[in-house]
Amino acid sequence: MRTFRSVLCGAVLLAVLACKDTLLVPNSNNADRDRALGTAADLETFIGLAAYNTAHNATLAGSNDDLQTQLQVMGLENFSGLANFAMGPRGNVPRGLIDNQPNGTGDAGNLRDFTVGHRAARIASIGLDKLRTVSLGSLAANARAKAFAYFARGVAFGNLALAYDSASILSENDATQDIVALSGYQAVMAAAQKDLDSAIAVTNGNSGSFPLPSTWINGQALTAAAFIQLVHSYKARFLARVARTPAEAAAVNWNTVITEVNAGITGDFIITMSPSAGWDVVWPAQAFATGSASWHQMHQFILGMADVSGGYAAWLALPRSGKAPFVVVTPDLRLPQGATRAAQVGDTLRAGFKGFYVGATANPGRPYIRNRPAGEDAPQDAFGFSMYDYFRTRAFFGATPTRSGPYPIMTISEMRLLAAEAYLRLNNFAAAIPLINASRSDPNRGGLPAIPLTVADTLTDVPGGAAACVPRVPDIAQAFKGTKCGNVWDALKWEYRIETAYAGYGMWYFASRVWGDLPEGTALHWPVPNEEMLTRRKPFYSIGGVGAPSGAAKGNYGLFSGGVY
Amino acid sequence: MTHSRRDLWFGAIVLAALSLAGAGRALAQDAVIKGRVVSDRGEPVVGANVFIEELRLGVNTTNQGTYLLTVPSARARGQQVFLRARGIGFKPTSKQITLNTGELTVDFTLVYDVNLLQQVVVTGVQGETEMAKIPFALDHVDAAQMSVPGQDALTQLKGKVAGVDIVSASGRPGAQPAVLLRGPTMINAQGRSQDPLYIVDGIVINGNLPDLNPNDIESVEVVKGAAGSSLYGARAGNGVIQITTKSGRHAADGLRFNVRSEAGVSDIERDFGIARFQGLITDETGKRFCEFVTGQPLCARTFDYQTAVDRANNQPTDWAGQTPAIPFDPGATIPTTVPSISGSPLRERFQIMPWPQTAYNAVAQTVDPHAHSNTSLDMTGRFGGTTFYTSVDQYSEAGAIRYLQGLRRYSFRANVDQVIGTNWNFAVRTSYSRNSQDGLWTDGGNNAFFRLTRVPAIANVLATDTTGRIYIRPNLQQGGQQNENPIYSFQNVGRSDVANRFIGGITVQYTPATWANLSANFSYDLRRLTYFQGQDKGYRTTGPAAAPTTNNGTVFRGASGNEALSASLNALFKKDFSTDLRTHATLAYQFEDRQTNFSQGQGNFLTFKGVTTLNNVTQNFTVSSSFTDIKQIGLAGGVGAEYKGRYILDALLRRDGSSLFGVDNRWRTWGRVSGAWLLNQEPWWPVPQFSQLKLRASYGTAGGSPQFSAQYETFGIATGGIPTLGNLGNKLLRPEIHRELEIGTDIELLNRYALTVTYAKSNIDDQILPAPVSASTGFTQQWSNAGTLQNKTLELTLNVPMIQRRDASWTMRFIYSRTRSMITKLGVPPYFFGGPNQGNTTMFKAVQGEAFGTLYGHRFVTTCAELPAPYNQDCGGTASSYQRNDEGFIVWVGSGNSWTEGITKNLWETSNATGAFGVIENWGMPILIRQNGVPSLLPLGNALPNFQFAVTQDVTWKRFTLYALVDASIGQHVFDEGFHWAHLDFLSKDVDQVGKNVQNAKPMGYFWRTNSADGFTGLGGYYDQLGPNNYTVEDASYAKLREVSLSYRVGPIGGRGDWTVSLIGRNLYTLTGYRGFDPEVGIAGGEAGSAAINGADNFVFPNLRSFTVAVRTSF
Repeated sequence: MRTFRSVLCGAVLLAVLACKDTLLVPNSNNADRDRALGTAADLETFIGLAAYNTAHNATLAGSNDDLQTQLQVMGLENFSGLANFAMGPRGNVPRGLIDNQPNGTGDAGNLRDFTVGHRAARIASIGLDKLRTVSLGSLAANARAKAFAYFARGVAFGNLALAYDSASILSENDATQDIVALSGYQAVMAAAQKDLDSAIAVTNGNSGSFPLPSTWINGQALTAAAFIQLVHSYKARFLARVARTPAEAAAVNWNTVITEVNAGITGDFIITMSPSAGWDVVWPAQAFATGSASWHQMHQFILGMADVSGGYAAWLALPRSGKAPFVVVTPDLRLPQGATRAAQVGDTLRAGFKGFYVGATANPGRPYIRNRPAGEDAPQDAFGFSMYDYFRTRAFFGATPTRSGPYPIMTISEMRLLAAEAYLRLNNFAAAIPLINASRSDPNRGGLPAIPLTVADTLTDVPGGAAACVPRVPDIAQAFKGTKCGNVWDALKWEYRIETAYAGYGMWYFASRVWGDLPEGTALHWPVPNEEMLTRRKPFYSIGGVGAPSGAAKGNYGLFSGGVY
Repeated sequence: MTHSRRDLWFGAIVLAALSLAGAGRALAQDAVIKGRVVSDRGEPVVGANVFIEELRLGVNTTNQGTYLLTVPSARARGQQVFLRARGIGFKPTSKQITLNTGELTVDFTLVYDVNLLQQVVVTGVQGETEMAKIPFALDHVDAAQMSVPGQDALTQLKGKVAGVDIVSASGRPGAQPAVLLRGPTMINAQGRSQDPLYIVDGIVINGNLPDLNPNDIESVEVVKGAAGSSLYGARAGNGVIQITTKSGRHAADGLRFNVRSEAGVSDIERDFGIARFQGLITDETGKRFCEFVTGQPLCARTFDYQTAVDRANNQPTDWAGQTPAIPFDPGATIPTTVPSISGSPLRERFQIMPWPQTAYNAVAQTVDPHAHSNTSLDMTGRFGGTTFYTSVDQYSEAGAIRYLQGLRRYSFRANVDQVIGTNWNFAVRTSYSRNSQDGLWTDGGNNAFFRLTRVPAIANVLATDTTGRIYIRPNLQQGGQQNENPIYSFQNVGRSDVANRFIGGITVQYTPATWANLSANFSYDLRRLTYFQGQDKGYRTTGPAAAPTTNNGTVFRGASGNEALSASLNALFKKDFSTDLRTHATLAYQFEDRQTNFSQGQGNFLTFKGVTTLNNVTQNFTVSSSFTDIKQIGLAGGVGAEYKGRYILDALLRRDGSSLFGVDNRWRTWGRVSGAWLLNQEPWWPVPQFSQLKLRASYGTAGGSPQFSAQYETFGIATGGIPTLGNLGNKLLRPEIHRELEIGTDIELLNRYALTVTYAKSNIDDQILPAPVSASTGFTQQWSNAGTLQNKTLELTLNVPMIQRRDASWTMRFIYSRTRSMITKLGVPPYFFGGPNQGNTTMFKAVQGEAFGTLYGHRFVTTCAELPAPYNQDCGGTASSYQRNDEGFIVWVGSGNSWTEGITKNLWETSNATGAFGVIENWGMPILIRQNGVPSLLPLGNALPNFQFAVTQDVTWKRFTLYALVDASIGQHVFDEGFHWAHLDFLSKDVDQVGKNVQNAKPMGYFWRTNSADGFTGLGGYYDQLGPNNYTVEDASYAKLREVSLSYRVGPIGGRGDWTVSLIGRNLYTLTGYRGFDPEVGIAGGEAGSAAINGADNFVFPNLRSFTVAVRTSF
């Protein structure tokens, strides 16, 4: 019995010892809020590394399903018939609706951008909230972080307002689990502008706290002045592109756009991409990833505008099913030169790839676009099938490691042409035309005849003569089955497209929306994802389609059934 | 080591020391009882236990069935005692004797317990209990019932226990089967498992059982639901499978050796039907293919396929060279019109042309029967109070795929039992195993088995270039990575997974009095896995340009560990208030600490060829690691009573604390109350032919736990060390509660025929689900208790000993089960979910009122009622605009036409611009059901079977033994993803139209994409999109001849040993209408977390068939 008691004592002892704090187990894999933001340095790191990076990733770094793949095919910036990432369905004409239902086509991309965009805004808001109680060590440091958080949140709101019909306007006053009400895109854009203005204001009052650490925007140790310029440029982009229709665009305060552009960047704004460091831009380069043109082609409807051989007109005249790739013979030096495919292929395949930059310096090299060897063709729907690929991204993709190095997310060309557009809309042709000619007639870029400064209307053809003008556009008088010389507006749009291709988030789509150039029925924005609506216990809805209120009207260039196709 | 674990070790040492202090008595002898135990067929019963319970003395019989029991003189005082005899597989018996000094001979004849009613079981019960007195369903499977050893402990349970769904979803050697007991229990199993709790010799295992040597198994016990598993509390909601390994406890004195060696080959039973014909455009000779050249007329340039293949592959580079563009290219997108072809080729062309050169079968070229071998040596012995069982085992299953080595496992076991005096018993169980395998990368999309489904018959996957390299691109089509030769990757992708596992435990049992039994257990389970996957520098790619990240090599390495430490204290007290009323009570304490960790790194661009270390990579280097620690404390108590041997009551409570929950939700109480009534024991029972008629009912609760991180708010680290928001934690999360009511009956007639019927209904409340959170929170998700899954199960087991004679016996065993799983409550918005791979990630829908496992996808119209009005009125007749074609689909044919007239009237070229669903309908093509123009997602079937059954035959005749098992799974559906996706390239066999006539032949477009309304340039068709539809979600019912063994007992050879020779077959034949490799298929992972649920045939390693010869002897 003594042994029995000993065993019992041992058992009790074991039980007592094993009970001591046993069930308190920390999660050493992930930090919670207290640990993540526990120190001033951590808080600054959180704001600095996460806020803008997430906003950037929300738009340009989605490796698979995201909106960028859809935006590019909808804006005719890219073309692919593959089902992957909804490229085929979104790029097809006639346009269908965005079937915003669980498991709907492209649903993953819709949810992804909406979620990550809000996450960027929430990260910034959490940072702003913490800054009210935690000091980073100095007022200057606090101000810099605060300005940066406002900036990142403003960019996140701005991009959400561009892409979605509504979004949540988050604030540093929200509780963690709050479901913030949805606001329309105009209200979201207003919030973006307000945050961006706050960023400028805080920076102006604390310029001594700059430059930014170069890791906050990778490779950019921005001074206060440079930072403010960047903020102004974002403001300009957002203001000019938030409109859904030409009518809404007409209501934009274009004078403000000019003001913002003038206060904005003075050179391409580039990020040193480094995927392993979290800075990436995927789709402009990913288009080449498989080596197959089935993932990417340049749409011949747009490229054809540079053609002076008559091939574009012939192509337009064919029924959709009869359309076939044609050689774009053009004096525009940004496209491969030559009258035959062989000649253009030869012109394209000079040693070395063309790129936006050589090192970090802007590269005037041409062409931007290549005519691929015939053996690399990947037949597509005849409407989009072409022999051309975008080429300035090739060096970037071929870099080691891939997709590393400088890449523009906002170009001075974009800003210049936004200003040009603003001047045109304000009927200040004299101010607009030099801005258009800056790339159009630059011998290192377009090399096209300059538009005379005397042009003061939208009726006059661009120079070059009836047979050699660039751009040529589908002629409404010929029921879009033939071409005519474009006017100054067409020249602006051609310049904008060729200069901004693959250098930002949905560049052609947002611009085409404002200009009224989208194919009929193209959704004018994305609905709030069905997953989010379900979480909010609200019905989800679809957007777009021919004849739908939220679908684009018949395009200026005949992009509707019975027109070009 | 953490503080608490040090405490635990200390406690264990103290316990062991105390235990040893009480040991040390010596034996003496005076009375000798001897005799022989034989079966009712006259055979000696080896290893039977003859014992005197009152004295707690016993001995085992020898190989001749004899025994010798000595009783110390001090204990032999002329008293009356019962001498009992019990043998495994026999009904026990007893004889009353008077115990005096001197010699006494007592012989026994044991009756075969063909239904194992007297089998003592230990799982889920408060102490060792005979099966006949268990008040809930418990299945016991003896080693004798597993005469065909499986690759692992679970595989060989197939078809042996009703209500146990074991799916060998991948035939890859080393792959673990998925297990469901009475259906799924979790709507979302991410980061956890639908598998039951596994226990080996009382040691709760941390994870699965891939390392256990099946030859070591003595028995398996299965408790399938909370009604029986409450004893194990918070982790037992999925049921319990307990494995008892062999020991020497029943061994006779001395040593006994068993040697078993098995060798044979494995292959693959079925083929994946790749098309044998082609529809490409050729010149007028039919021998040369037309090349697509932009702007040039069709066939302006032609090429010879093999010449082009040779040219592309015979390149000095690490990538294949340029290939000609094929104008009508399977694998790439097809234009509505290829230039210079009039009309649409999709409407015009029929896949009927043979390939102009040698045609190959890529599957046949890939399958290469490999060796299957297993050699096992064990030694069992008894020396005084020490008994032991040790074994060494080598297992090799090389599989059947060229260049793969498969699985190799070496294992060692030592089980030792030591009796000291009459009060102490020590049991030590240890095992160590090492297994290695190489095929882990081959399954799934974009891997080798995916590419195997994309090989046209003209491609010779075994061709080599001038330097002996296997062609990287024997397939000229423009399909990207799918052009890569699967054989090349089998040969050149290196993979190695090496696992070392140690499982050890010590149990000390102290019996201070007949009414008390105290025990303590301390156990440790460690599994260390290291893995490597790499492609060496120079790995070839399909071109036509370099793929530097691959060409320069990749290395992926990692290591993971699962470690579990547990300790328990148990006390069992018995009290007989009278001869009629016997009671017992138990108390238990248990502590568990389970840790998992992994670290891994990868990168590419190797510096040196042939060096596989991580420091040989120079670019894209990434590392990751994780560590989790879960602790649990359990306190349990129970009581049980048996009245008059026919009324049995059992009740227990267990309170568990778990570190997986927030402070306020850590502790939870589980329990069970159950009872049994043995009607046949009633004096008034009028039918003596019932040797048992037991009614039983049990109600119990058990738990389900969340994944480790669920309670925590997490800030993640994105690529580049950038902070991000992850999981919105939930400290209020509660465990899932399994509440199960089970009723059943166990019937035995004439001591022979047995029938067991069980009905169970369980509600698994508080389902732990990842509730989507609003994007405005910035977080991704939050785990919450938000649903109920209900399972209703009917199980039936019938055991029919047809013949039971000494020279001949024939027993047939039949099991049947069906489970219905329903989501009866869902507190989150309905959502789609599925497997982990492209195309199947959203094949299920979670919605209240839905049968769990329902497959969703697009649906082609098959009945007129599915057409909207008024189109449904113009349907079904011979003159209707909509008619049913020979494949059962409703198609538009236009008024006055027949679906058979597509060719004769040239109707395939026509369309109905605004069809029934408002979009274009192409003549004769399947029509998708739509809403607002968008294809609807509709139920297509269920991935879980309607019912399962198995039939086992055991026949012995003289020296021959025949064993056969057929098991069947009926009514489950599988998304045949491989078959579905191959339609994109016209490579599914149904695209071939050879043998069809002008009435029923279909053009290629019939099998391709949906039409332009969906953004595609297709016309029909079966390929549709990547997700499931009702053409490729197939009834995957099957019946398999799972195991066959024909043995001949040779007996001693040269006076030595006892030899038996067996012919063994596994997975010999599958009866099914399924079109893929194997209807027994699925994919692990995803939200359902089990290959038994994820019914998608996603390019997995086909199941193996094996033929072997086994030789066994003992001496």
